[in-house]
Amino acid sequence: MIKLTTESNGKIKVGLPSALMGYRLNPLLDHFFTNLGAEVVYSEQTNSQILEEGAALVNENICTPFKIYFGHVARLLKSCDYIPALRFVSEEDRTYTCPKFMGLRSLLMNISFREQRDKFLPLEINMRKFTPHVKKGEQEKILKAELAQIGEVFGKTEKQTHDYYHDALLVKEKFEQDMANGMILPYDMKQPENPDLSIGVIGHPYNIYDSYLSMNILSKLYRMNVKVITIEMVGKEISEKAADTHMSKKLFWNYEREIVGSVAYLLENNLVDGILFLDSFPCGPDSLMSVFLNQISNNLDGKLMAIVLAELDSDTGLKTRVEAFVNSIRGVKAGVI
Amino acid sequence: MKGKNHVVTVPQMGTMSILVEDWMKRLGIDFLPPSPLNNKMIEVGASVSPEFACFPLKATIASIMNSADNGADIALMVGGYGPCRFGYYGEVYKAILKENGYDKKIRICTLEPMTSGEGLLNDLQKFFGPLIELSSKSKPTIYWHLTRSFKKAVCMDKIESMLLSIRAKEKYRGDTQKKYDEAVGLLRSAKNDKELAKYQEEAVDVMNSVELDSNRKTFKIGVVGEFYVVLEPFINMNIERLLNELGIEIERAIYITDWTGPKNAEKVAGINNFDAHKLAKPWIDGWCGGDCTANVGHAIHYINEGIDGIIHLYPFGCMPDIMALEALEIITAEAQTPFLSIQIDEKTGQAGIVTRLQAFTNIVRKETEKIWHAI
Repeated sequence: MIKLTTESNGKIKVGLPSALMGYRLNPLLDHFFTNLGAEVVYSEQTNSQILEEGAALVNENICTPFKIYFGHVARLLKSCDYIPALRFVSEEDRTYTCPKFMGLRSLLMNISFREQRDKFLPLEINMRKFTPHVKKGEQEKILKAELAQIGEVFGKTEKQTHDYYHDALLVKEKFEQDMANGMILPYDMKQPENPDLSIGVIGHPYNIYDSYLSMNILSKLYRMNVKVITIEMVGKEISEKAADTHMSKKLFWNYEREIVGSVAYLLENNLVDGILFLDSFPCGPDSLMSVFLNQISNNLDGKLMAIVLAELDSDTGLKTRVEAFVNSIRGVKAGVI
Repeated sequence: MKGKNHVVTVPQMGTMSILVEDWMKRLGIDFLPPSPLNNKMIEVGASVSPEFACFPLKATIASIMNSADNGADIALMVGGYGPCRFGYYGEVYKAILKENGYDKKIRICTLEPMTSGEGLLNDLQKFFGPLIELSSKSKPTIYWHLTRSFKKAVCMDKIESMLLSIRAKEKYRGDTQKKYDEAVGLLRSAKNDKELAKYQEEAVDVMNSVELDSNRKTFKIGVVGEFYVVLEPFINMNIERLLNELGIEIERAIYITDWTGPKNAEKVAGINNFDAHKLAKPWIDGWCGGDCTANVGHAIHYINEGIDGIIHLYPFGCMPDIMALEALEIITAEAQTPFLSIQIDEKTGQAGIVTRLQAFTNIVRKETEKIWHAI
């Protein structure tokens, strides 16, 4: 995901934070802004300074990925002309993301970076078809106005901007389908050639693929010769269907639906030997999901370990736990334990 | 479900059980009021809930398990469609009860609000279904009784709002509380609308009969925050009584009926959610779940009216109210209004809260007096 900043070529620079929903939406935003004629700049990989910078900007009770996101934005603001400020409501009908995602734009523009609010391009990502207390057509109106505003910045007409946006939506969809079909591996992931175990590493993409936050869990598993399956590789369609059959009330969180569904699908079809559930401190929806994940994995006789990612400096604890988990599964498989 | 008399309960939350009890009595359903919360129950609740679950979940599951032990076999709960975690509480309760072997003792009936977007018929079924089964009454009858109980609860909330300001000025400590209990007793005994209207006037008179200390200088503080911690005195360490005793009148942003009632209806607390939303727009420019925008809007409303300070209460890990907190910090700093935010979880002790409230009250006093000197 990292693109190094090139020499200035007169293009407007748009910064995309490689954090939080960037792991879902950056393909879309990249395509959209490149077509508009912008130079897209990604932020560097997360490191401890970025986390520190971000943590200073927001309340200490906000979750760790959010602090990281704010750190990325602060870095990008120094080198870029514009940053998209998203109000991320949902990617799916009748679901929401998390309240914090929905208020993220307000936090960026009205609170944390108030002095630089002109550098943000507001954009609402909302793919719901129905929202209570919102009039019909209101949502389209908001999107149209925001796209027009963005188009103006780049000197493009309203129609052009609209077309680019819809192209970008398709690009995102194709990217997700490619990952689900196994055509591409998500985010530079490496898989061992002859793995003897496969483990589902389940959680929000910003927890798993951010090597700083996840303490390189993917490369740790690679070195242990373990194949990794993530929610992207299961695919939206399958995971959502599985979630709806396992939950008595439809989950109204976009991501949690995919997380619960992936776990259920992987265990039901014996596609993995165990599940590592990564959640970040203190993730709201995930905290409730742990109850259901335990229930599902007990019912399906699966092995599940939950790991909470926090702002820690040392990976020793994580390493020990992952090693123990992998070894115990290997032992059971070989009949030693 | 027929053939056996079910005993219905609700999780403990402020005066909520009075509203539901009245409604259930009208429908002919047996009701067991939940016992008041205590430390033991909170301990049990925390031990069975996920660690990072929000605090109200831990308190309410404890209340449900306690009621199950006391003989209730159905717990009514309100649902929702997100994004706040509250909407999924019902399902989490079911999972926790099953894990702890309580699923044979008590069953959760979730009344879903009418906002699923899956059509009116579906919505009606999801809200009324469980009650029709319990009471064998028709939807209009159930709804009619709900409006009557609701009206009564509104009267009670109005009396409670009087309590929050009169108690700060009482001459003899404890006087107002006694009168309040008397007034609530009166209202609870009302059997129809006519009696309710009569008793309401009497109740207001009762509250006004409290002897006031004319020498005492009082200040006004707005209390905003997540509804459960604001409405349940055990959870918030009776913060309102403590403030009243320190000579502070309280404007509370939410009452039971404000929370249960329709969003656009007239509120006991003053402004409704849509107006609050408009006020909050320059800060939080879209609804982001729970009471976030409502709290920000109420705080701005209070500041515009010249309140002396704002207190914000929220449980550990509350997602919407963390967003509100970010906005409130800046808003109150700009308006130079003293602001105190208290995060509450199962480990919050009363001594710490008392100290913070005393310090805050001193600041409010000094700030206000400074303004007087300037004039």
